[in-house]
Amino acid sequence: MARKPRSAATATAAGADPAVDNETIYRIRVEMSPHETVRNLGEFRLDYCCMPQERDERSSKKRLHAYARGAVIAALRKAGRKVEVLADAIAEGRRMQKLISKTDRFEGGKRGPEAIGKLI
Amino acid sequence: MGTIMSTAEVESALVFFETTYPTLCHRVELPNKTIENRTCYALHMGLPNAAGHPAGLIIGGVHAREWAGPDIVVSFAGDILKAYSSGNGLQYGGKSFSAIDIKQIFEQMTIVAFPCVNPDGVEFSHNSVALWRKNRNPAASGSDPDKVGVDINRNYDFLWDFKKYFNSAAWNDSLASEDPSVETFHGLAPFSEPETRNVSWLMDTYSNLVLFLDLHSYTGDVLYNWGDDDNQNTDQAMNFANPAYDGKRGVIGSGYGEYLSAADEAATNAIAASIRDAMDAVRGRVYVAKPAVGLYPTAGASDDYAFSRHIVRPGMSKMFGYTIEFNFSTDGNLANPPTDPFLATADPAIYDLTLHDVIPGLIAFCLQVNRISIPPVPSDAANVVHMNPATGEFWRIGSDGKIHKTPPLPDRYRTTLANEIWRLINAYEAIGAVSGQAGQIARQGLLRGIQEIARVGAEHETVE
Repeated sequence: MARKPRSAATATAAGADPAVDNETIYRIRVEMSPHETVRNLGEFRLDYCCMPQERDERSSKKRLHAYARGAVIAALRKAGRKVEVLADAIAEGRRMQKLISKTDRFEGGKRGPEAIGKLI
Repeated sequence: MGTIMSTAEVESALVFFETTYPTLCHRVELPNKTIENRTCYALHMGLPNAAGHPAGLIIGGVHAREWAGPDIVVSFAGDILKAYSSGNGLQYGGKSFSAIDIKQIFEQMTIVAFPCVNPDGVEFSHNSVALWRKNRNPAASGSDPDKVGVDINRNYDFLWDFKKYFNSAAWNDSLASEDPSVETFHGLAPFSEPETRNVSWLMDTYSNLVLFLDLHSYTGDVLYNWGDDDNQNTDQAMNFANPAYDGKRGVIGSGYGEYLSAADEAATNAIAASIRDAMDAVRGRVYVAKPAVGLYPTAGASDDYAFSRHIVRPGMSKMFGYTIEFNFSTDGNLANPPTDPFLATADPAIYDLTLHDVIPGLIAFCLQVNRISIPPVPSDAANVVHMNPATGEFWRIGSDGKIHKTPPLPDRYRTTLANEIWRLINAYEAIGAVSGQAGQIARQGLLRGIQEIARVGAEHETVE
């Protein structure tokens, strides 16, 4: 996941199935049959660790969440896999990074984090 | 507050706790600095007279991109410290804990919280490549930036050498990888990484640990042992330490099952259920408690290493291992489409929901620490001495629960060969009481393994 995309991606929301750029990393869902395991997708070298395999109650098929470059998405589709492109993962990451604290709000220990639970 | 804490803020929060609640907690400096030269700290919580009681260890910030982990651990510590010091209980949505519950945590056990195991990776994920998972060790990269980093949660000494221990049909990237460009690269050796050595150091130092929990995201699960294969409780000789089963693990339903006694399985299942129930009760979001292999088989993972220690090193206390995979791919209470769940916790609304959901799970975990029976810890294990490889200094934990430097001891470090023989001898002793043909076969297999290692070692010693 260290490489950065060469160009901005065009992927948008789930289901839009946009054209993908070979070098950009996308957040995707790959459809799997009900009894398949991730081993069957090993050749594609997807990055799916700590990500869920959802089960669609209606079709009983599974959908594996993963990151993949556009070239891998093309290969998955060529192999007959249904792939849903959810977002340009790099652009999404940059957007979320802007929300992270860049300072020390606790001033080296002079202050602490706000309570989360309610005292009772 | 609203957004993810920087690594500096995580450290500052621990300083704040130590100075604000000096009788209830103190920081513990970890002996191994990270590759980028960061010093890590854990927080020891509990009254001094709780030092001899059972202990629990909670870690977060292992996978860099799983952003909320350190914040959950820090906020959990802040909440229970504040509640205990004011004599209150705590409420999170539909889940509440009484003042007596909180009192138990500080007076009847020790809790060690290590919020950010991988600060190098977390910093890189916050400021450079958001999707970064591993640490920042370049040792195996050959100067290729795509090959930097080791997956800390594949670097523990539990079936680390997956090509030796697992069925080749199970070899894939989620199990572990020898390829540095893959997200699950397991490093050049077990415990090659300062981050795993720090966690192991805490496990060695707190010899009364009975529960361990590693925070990850985002499959909505509470995972318990084992993670290498399905659990079975009928054949004690069929276990990870038995070389007769090398090359057979990791393919579900293929005949191999990792031994877990029926009593241990019932106990660990009940503890996982209590963690799950506490999180579910907050707002009805349903987590699933299941053996870790239910996600996918893994090699070198923390939860299995934690539980395996008492088997390979007799005399150590039994420590059940857990992994919370917090959050979900979608959240019914939030707008659609969701943001990347690894990173979505930077959104103040999701951050708030996440902390409210997961902190009760950690408190429930603590409340299980003194509810499980543990064998007495041998007195020699309470005085284990550890070396900081960077400085050569030796440390032990005193009866006051604090770290003390000690004079140097003779070199206790063994060669890889000697360690491998030592591991097999321990495994042999662990199954010494197994009766019948299964026990005999397993012991013979271990003895043959020792002979084989000794033979290979002798060949290397031959003078040409």
